[in-house]
Amino acid sequence: MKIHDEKTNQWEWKALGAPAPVKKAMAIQTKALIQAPAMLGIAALMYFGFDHVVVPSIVAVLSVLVLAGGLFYHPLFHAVERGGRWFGHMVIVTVNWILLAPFYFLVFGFGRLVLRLQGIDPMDRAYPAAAETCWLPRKKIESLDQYRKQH
Amino acid sequence: MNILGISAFYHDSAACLLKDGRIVAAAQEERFTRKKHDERFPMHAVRYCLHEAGLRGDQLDAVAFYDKPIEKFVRILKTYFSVAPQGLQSFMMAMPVWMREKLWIPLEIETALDACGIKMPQDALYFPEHHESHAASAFYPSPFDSAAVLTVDGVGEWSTTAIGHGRGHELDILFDIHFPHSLGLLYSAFTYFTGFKVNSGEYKLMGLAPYGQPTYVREIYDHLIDVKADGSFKLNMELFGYLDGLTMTNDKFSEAFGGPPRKAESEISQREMDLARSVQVVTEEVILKMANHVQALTGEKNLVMAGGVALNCVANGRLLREGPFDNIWIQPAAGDAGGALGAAQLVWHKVHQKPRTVVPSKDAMQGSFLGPNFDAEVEAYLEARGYPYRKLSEAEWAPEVARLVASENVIGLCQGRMEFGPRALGGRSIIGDARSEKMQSVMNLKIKYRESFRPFAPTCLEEDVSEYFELESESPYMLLVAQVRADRCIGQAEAASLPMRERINQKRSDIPAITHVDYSARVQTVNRERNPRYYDLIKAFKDQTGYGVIINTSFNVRGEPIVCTPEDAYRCFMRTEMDYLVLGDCLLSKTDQPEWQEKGDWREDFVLD
Repeated sequence: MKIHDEKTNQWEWKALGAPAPVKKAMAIQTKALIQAPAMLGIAALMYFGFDHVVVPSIVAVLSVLVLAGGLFYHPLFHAVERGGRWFGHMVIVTVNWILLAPFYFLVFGFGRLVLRLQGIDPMDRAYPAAAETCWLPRKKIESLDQYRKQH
Repeated sequence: MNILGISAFYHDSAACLLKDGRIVAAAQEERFTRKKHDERFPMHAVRYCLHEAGLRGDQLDAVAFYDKPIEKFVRILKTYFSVAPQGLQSFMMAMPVWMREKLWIPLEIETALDACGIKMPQDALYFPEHHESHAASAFYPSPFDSAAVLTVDGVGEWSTTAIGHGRGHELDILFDIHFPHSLGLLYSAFTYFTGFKVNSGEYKLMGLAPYGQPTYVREIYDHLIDVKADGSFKLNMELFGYLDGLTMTNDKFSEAFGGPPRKAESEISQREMDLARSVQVVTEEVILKMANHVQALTGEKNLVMAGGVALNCVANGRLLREGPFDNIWIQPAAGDAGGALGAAQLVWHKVHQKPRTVVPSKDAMQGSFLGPNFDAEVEAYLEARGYPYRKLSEAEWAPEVARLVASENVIGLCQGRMEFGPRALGGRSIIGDARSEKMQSVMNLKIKYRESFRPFAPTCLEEDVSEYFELESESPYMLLVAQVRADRCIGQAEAASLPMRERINQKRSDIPAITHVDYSARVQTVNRERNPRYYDLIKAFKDQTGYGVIINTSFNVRGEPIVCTPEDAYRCFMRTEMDYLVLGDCLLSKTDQPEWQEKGDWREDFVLD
């Protein structure tokens, strides 16, 4: 059934919670026969095109493992796949950290230093509170347009 | 005018639809996706709401999102400015999500609605503040023409607590308390420290409290919270971890409260029970002070409440007994899901200046039965699956189900519209005999697969409430705790000296299955107008047994969202040791069903809460 049937004005919402039908996965043998030559091609390009030795050797060995695992021993193929996923994840995490961590220390570290020198604490942490009340008066909403804003 | 309210992207996402101000439908996304506290955009709930309202995709006039995302982002940035160079881990986790999703909420909403086949109305997307949405969800559907408003939760944009005043269709927030000073987060810190999951284990902490003594109250006041006479407060952030780390508490907190946090699922010791009791006492005292203050400010005799802390029914019960208000009304979907409802109502009443129609002593929540109803489709479903069942006539439905309850059977009940909010109120409930001594442990260990200390709640006929409990008012949404009447209680004197396990199994009254260790109960009252079938069932039970009270617990197992469809109900029925299942008019006996088979361990489908 479509999400919305125009003729009957019926919305489909019940079946949506059910698990989606599982897409038939490609056979491991087929995957291996596609992936291994592709990896070998990349290794060859790096070796002959860019004169690298170590990385193409690793990729070539992995391609042999993928082919052997895919054709003869599936746990080996799955292990290489898992290793690949882990490696990809680690690359993303590392890139994230390389980009964001210096940004954090530079912007927020420096920002905090400036605020401290000015005696400002954005979180108002002085404890116990010197004031008799901690209730903050709420500003009156001046215009209903305020409700259209995200801030 | 059709207004769609949405809460999403944090936890408990939900959608609600108002048609000319009337609540037509509201549902939480978790019920459809079967992922507890699902935070994703409520695609299924939105579609259900339009289906229920009979609307086409181009008939929405406005969409209201329950908070102001940019304001929240500013608060998060300011938090990092206040803790750097600490806080890097939290920053690394939060930023990618904000960059990818939360900073582009209007686009996310438009894209998601488009994927649902719904046209985003032009220039009609609204963003009320988080606590304003809570306040609106508490005041607008309440049975009061005017009321004081109190909202308390973890945190919204900046507000963690707000007090206000509602009159007619006017609603003003008067004062608030800002992050990081939060009563909800204080409670969550103890939830974490006692080994339960934040944002879902708070209820367990409340249930654990009666087993303990308030031995840490002084320490909490000395080290953690500075409470003023008007109920406003500040937290000592030196002992909390949620500003600069990934945990709610830090090492200083552990030093102050006798060692490290309890590991999840490990044995619960007396320390955890005492901590639970102590933070519960402090929470109640703060709420009472705040209530006194808002009463003095507004001069109202009615109070309305919302926000996650308003689900603390023990505090609510004390507020009703000891507080300054004659009447209290609490939004049944008081958590973030209810924000969808409040946001939509705020747009209707405040932005479009539409007046309210208040019917005294009748709220606009329709018993909170705002979700889907499958009764008409049950037979076809059962026939298609070949599941044996017996169809009950209207006349035999209530007496037959009551007879089964009276025979100590555990029954799954899936009838009528699904409830909106965290409580099952007779639409998606598991019911049993409150008089049975074995029922609490049977239900905890064989049906719900949850901790044995957790209590069960009663549903009783509204007119009989004072026969069983020290309560004179109605409690239709199970949000008030009251004492079981003293003349029904047994063994109060020796109870305090017994160890926890023996206290769990001790018979405490003539309705032992719903009497908690402190002789209290989280009461739900039912009348015929709100839920006729459920009322008739309890009435029939009373006719057969003399008791107008039964056990009512949510229809799910630990970690699972409450069931939605007959299929969810049947699955849960077959996975557990329930004896009977009632689907609309149809009664299914476990002994008649074909053997249940499924691959793997179904418990792994649910993350323990």
